[in-house]
Amino acid sequence: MSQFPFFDISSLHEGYRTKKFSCQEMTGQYLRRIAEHKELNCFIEVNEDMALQQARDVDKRISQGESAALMGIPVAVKDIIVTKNLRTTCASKILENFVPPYNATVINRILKSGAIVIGKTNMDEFGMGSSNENSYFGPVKNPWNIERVAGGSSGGSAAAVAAGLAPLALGSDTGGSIRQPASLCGVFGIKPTYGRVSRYGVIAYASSLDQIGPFASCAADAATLLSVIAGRDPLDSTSADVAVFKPSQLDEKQVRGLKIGIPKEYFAQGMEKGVETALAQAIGQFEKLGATIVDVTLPHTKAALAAYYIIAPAEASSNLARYDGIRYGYRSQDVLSLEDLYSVSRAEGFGAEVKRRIMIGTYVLSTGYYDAYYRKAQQVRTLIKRDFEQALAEKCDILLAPTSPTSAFRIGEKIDDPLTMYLSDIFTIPASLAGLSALSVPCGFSNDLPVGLQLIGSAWDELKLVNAALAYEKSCDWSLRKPTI
Amino acid sequence: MISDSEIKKLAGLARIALSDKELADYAAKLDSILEYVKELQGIDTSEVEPLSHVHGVTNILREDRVISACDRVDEFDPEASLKNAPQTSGKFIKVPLIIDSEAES
Repeated sequence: MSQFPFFDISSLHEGYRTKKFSCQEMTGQYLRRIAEHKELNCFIEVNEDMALQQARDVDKRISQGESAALMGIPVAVKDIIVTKNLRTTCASKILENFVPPYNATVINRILKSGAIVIGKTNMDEFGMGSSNENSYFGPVKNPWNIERVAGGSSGGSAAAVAAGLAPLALGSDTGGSIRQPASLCGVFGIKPTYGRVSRYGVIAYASSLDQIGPFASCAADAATLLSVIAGRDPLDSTSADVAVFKPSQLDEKQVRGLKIGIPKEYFAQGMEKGVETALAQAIGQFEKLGATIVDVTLPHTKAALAAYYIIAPAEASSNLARYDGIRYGYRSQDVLSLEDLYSVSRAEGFGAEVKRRIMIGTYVLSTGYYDAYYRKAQQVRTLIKRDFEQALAEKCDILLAPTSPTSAFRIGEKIDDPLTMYLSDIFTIPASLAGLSALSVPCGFSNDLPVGLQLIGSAWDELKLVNAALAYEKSCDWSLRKPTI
Repeated sequence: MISDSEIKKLAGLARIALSDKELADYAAKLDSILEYVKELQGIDTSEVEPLSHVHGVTNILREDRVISACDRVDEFDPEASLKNAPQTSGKFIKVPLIIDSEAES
């Protein structure tokens, strides 16, 4: 039985059922805890009034005997997901005062399931970053050590769950933005298969990569939240009509006989010693649990980062063309011409990294460079996808790799050197480019900072990954350790 | 190396007004990123199709039929939408003059 503030779903439901506390009381407690830990900078907007109203409605639904997977569960929502009448900034000055007139599909789905939207979490502006330092609202602090980054871009969501400011959170992952902060903050994070979750109402960064996914303090809760948000949505033509698993299908015994591939390219070089040790122990643990470990090779792994930093900025330069200071968003004053209104509003409204990626994207898509950069990157993407398909078809059921080459680094350490920062995503980007399912599980500590391991599966194979994560989680106590804040 | 004129042209295409100092900083950082991504040139892709969709999906079609606004789950409120416009006049969004009135007459 878990305790406040680190409640899991089943303990909260047990408390509601036995009338130990009401949803209103619990929501109030989490709101107070958020207010007490402003130093972490996890939230851009706290949904105080509406959350309590939602909690009152949920208490009524509970008293009428209604039950649902997320009934009465506070969820922190990354500020890239639009929320009706609740400011949504994407951590950008350009959307500082944007109040969406509608809800994203994922929001409607969690509300229907009884969730409470407790607030909007801090992030790297438009999802562009690996440390949460690219936020207009300042960096998120890692709850394990407030001088360290929380990871990014979904740093606020990861840190909020790690610090017990919310039992669950939603994030988005383009090249690692769920898995990497989950790893650095010591929580569970799932990047679903491309097309698994509707992106209607999600602010676009790189549309061939973006996916919404859950954060939680245990594998089962992450799977439950995913099962609620997943599935075809008529409002998003890229959401796939593929059957979604039910939480009742979770079965940790499936780990027996599971063939886990270890891609040698992920263990080649540049990994922090403590991460390497934690990974080696975790592999041994999976063997003890009855899994078979096999060596595999994914030869094009090294090219993934370069391909990503062509493809993602290219798509971003197109997606972010909509911020022009006309219909919504920041508009610079004192400009005379329409041309200046666009370019000065964008110069003042976007942060440095966003402008950098728009410029790179514009460059690689411009006449004369398209074939050498964008087309080439998409060809390499085909090769990366083939590597995974071959390994997962012929050699193993799932893959195991580190999530991040290091534990949480110091705030300010990499901010002046974009390339060094980009390397933080070196292990998460390949699965994103291939559109596969992947998740990060806490697997130990390095210098008292959390370490995560990544499981990667075929498209639509989230259940297999969650089953393996569940078995591993129950066999060790890593996720029971909490930061002392 | 990205030249001064090239970086200026890029900023223009991207509709981002940058000062000369910013242009120099962006040029240097863009150079190092573009240098890094050039490593792809060493990979033989002569017989590889570029990936257009990770699951090979092409067109998603649906029946084209009229539905009433209230059948949509998201029911947009025009007033709420207009509230986000930086400058309005009545039910309109205000923009700077784009047609020179003297040239027109």
